[in-house]
Amino acid sequence: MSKTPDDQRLELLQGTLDMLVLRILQWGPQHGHGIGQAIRAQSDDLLKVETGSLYPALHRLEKRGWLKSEWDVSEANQRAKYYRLTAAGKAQLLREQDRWSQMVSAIGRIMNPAPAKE
Amino acid sequence: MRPDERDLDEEIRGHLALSVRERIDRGEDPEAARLAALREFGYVPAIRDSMRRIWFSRWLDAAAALGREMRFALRSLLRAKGLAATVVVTLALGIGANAAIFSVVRGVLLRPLVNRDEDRLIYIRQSAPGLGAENTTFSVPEINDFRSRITTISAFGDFSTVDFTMIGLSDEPRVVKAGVVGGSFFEVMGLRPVLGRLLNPQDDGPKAAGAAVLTYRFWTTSLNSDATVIGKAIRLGPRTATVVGVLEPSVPYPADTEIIANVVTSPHHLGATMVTNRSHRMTELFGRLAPGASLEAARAELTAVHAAIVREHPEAYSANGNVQLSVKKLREQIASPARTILLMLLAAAAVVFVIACSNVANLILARSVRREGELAVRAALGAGHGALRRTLLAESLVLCGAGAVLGVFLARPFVAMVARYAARFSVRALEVTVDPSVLWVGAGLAMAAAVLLAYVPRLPSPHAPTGLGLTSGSVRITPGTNRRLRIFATTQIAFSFVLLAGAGMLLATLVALQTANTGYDTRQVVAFDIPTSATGVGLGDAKVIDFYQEATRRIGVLPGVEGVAVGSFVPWRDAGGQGLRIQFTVEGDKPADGEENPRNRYRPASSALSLTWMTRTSCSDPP
Repeated sequence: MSKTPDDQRLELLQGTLDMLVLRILQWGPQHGHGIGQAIRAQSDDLLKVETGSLYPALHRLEKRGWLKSEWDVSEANQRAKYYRLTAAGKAQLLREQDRWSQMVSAIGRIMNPAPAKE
Repeated sequence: MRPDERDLDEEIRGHLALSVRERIDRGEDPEAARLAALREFGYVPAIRDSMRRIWFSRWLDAAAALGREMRFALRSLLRAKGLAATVVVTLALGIGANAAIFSVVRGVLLRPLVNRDEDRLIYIRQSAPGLGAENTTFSVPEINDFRSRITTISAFGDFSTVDFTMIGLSDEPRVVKAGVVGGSFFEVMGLRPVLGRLLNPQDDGPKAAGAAVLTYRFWTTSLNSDATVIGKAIRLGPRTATVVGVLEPSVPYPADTEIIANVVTSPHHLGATMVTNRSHRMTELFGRLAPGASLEAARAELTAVHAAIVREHPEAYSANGNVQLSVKKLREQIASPARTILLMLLAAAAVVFVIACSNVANLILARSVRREGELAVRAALGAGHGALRRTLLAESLVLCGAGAVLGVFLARPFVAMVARYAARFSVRALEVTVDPSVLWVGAGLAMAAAVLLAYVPRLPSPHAPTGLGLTSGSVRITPGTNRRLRIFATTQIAFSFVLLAGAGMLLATLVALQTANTGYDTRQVVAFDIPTSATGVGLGDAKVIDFYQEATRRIGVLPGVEGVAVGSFVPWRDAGGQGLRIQFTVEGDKPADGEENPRNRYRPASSALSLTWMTRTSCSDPP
């Protein structure tokens, strides 16, 4: 599955992990391992989240009330903690998405300036 | 929901299990899959800790650890009961003394008075340092001049003390110390009644009905807080008055009186001498600053007006007297005599605390020498400096906490003792009680002592070889410990000497006072306060003289009585009190220009007084 060599992977941009986690959980409750795999799969193996960042992030989001967790048994019959998006979490995701697109367009304007109009 | 420790472990285990299973499903060897999963996960304890940190702050963890350490310390101290008891008692004495003196200092110097807007309440005093008179008080004409000319003070209140023979309220006639006040007094002082009403402008002047207010202390101690006292008629000397109310507890200033009555109850206050004689001074003066006026402005205006009055009436002010006016906030006036003595007491208490601490530090150090082996073992097993200090801190916290609790209990009798003593300097000390500030002082001192004690013992250094401490496993004194022991012993001895010297001098003074030959022999003397017969007799009346002569005669014939004397004061008991100052002329002595006849206190006494009291001084004129 991991076809991309490590040195070609992208470093996760500072401050985007929370947004990614919230976005992944939009598809439904998931455990930590599953969230990590989903980020990797959906980024075509370009993004890899370290567990050392992922788990503290999950707990931080839960403490803020954006996620809720409960114990459940996974498809592989393994007990795991599942995280679910709360209403507040959904609202936060919208806000972060907004900010993200503003950021992308702002950085894009600087990096690829439109040719000046005569 | 906050996860518990098991939740964290299980979440990590679950992740690893899923990761391993995924690898095995992909066809990896189980053992290799397990290692790969672990490698990918990272250092488990660190990640687990970073998850925990989201929910449990570092401080919370430290506090929990300290709590565990304190339980451990309690157990280990129970095995060293002698040491623990000594330390706790020593600390309790130090903390108790400090807490008690601090609460008296707070009560006397720092706490505001109960009077409404006490910040605007000022006390005005006239003095004549040239005549050695610290407080000449004021005469009615002087007060009237102030009332008509001063603008920075919205109202003046006047107060003078009189002794009344009171009938009613108790079974027998009794001499009471009373304040006589004008109608504005209570309004200016900003005091409220706890029962009935206080005196107001309608009670002022010679036409009003006699009215009296009881002070709270008198009402609670002598009358058992009897509420039916309101409306009762009492006789005050020749006049009658109705009890109209009870004053709230407040600082009795300038005098601790039992009742406060209006002017009409005192014939003297209505007399021509009192009302018109500018030199007849017996009234204390209070003022309330006018809105917007500052103390400085009032002081400046009062001083200027006073100087003008002195210029206008040179006959009423002694040329040598150097008459002056002082204007102070009432609170400062009341507290200032006690300031120096209280601050000295506070310093002494601080010294006691330092001695207690160094004493305890010595004991703790001696104990820590014995446990150096234990600390060395823990350090070798990987306990950091922080953890070792925490053990020591837990132990000293337990000791100091126990000391503080005991100290606060001790502080109660201490406060009563110190307050009784301080009451000689400031009446405010009478109202000092144990207040919660004692707890804060106690806790603060205990914390300070605990931290100090925790840092006294030296920790096994990670750089120096700890082998020595480990191998012997028993007592071993390092040079550093030795030096510290010396430092604490030196501090303790030095401070003890300071205290001993002070206490020794105090004791020597007391002994000297006790054995001083004053010329009076008080051992065989009994003193009575006898009220004058209450029926309309004034001072100098023949009936008064008859009364005293008859009383003297009858007492004199009682068996066991050697002599009887009458006087307006009791030597030594009433010394320094207020008295009438009277000007006198020495026969054949002409005052020089600008000089006046001397003035002194006047105390009528029968000639037998000297015989009754004096044993050694010769008496040239036996009766």
